Amino acid sequence: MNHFVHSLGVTFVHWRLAAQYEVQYRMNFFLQVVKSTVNLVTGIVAIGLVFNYTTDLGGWGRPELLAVLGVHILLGGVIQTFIVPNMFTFMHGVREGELDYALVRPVDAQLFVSTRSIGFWNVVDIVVGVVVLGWALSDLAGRLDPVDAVLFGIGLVCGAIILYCVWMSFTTLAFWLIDVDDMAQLISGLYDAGRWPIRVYPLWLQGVLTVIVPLGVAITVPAEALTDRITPGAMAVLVGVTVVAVVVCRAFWLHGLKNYSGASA
Amino acid sequence: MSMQRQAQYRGAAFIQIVGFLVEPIVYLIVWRTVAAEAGDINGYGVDEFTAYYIVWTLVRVFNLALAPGAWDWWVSSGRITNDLVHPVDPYHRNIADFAGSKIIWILLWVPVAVFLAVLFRPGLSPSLFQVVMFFVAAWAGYVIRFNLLYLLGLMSFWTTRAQALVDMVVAMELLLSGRLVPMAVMPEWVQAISNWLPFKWTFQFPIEVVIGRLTTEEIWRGIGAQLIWIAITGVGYSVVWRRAIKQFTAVGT
Repeated sequence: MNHFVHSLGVTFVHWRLAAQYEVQYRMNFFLQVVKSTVNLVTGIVAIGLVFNYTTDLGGWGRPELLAVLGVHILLGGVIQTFIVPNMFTFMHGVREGELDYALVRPVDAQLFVSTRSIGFWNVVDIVVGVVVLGWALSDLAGRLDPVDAVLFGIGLVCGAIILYCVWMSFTTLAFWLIDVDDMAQLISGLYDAGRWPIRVYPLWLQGVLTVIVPLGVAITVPAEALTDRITPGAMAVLVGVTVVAVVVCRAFWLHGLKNYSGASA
Repeated sequence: MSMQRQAQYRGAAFIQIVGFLVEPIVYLIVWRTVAAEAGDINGYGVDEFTAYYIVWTLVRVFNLALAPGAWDWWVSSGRITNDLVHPVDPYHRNIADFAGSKIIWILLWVPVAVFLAVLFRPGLSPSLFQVVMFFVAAWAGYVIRFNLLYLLGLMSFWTTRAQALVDMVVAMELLLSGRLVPMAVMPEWVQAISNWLPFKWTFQFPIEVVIGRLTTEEIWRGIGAQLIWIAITGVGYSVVWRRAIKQFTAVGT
């Protein structure tokens, strides 16, 4: 327990320092607003074009697609704020030999490398995602019943955990492959497939986005909860995938760490 | 030289290809689904969308050019001085460098295309003329796009925050080039705008040449439009480049 409190304390100190550092650069806020706006507009235009010609896409209406877009932006913002900057620091650390300094600290190394930096201004995307979700809800015009709201909350947390595990597992590959910047692009590409509900895709692609790189299920299932389309089966798959992702990610990290001989050794 | 360098990294190329295929496959599936429900959209049915997005992947390879962000670092770190002391304008090296890598990329694209064709079965039967004109149009499209991004990159000589402008131009390109959807899907006023901007001529035009959506006359007119854009961006580049290096004082001088 004591150990857990200590870890939590280290995490918060990291986040506070990193946020204070980033807030100095206000111009980055402006750049992020432009970027988020551009992203939002293209997302909405794509949905608008589809519904110029049809009233539903594989059974999903406009507000439902907006909900998927909202979850996509929101979780994307979370991961860009809290996780992605750390992943890049870690990859460069392996290459430059700075990782050794992180490994000698008296905290869990995975926790340490996962919480060192923060992309503070990406919180703009978190705000945008929440606004889009609100818009989708008001378009749905129905009440969100409490059960669905709870499932949505659980879904979002599971989704965020899955995204972290996917990023962490791919970046752990940095122990073996030195240049993993391409990996980052691969994950971003796959993440964009989550902008549409994966139920629209053929089964093989749904399988890839659920089992191999579970980014799709992480976004679609929370959106299903919000739009009253959730089935117990989908929820079970999401929770199951989350558990497996955590176990695999941790085991892979420990395996990588064991093989790592350090830059100065 | 650049061809040899690219050929070394086969593993990296494979990862890049998988990442880059997600985008067109997603568009393809979404629009096939729409076309299956709504029928033809201004001449685009299931087969046409399929052919469009498969050729899309090859044109995207042709399209790849120097990212404007690279300039930020070259200029702010002072590394650009290495280029400036050469007697040849770095433009030539950069454009040839990308053209060389492209040849390897195009070879790598062939198995990808076979895979996509087996998976989605497009209706595609171009004539020899259309194929030849496709390659002409695709290379011309590359030159236009290279020049445009190069011009954007040169903004780094004046500001360290060119990224916002780049983001906006990239979004305009996404919507107006035919990368997101063929212009036939867009409202008519958007189509009219896209005819007068360079983006469509770098992307949609080569695709439509080879999937047989254009008459011979329209193909020649499109090539004409491309030549005009090469001229405009080329002149724009030489004017901006001269002003850029004139007002640049390097770190250390």
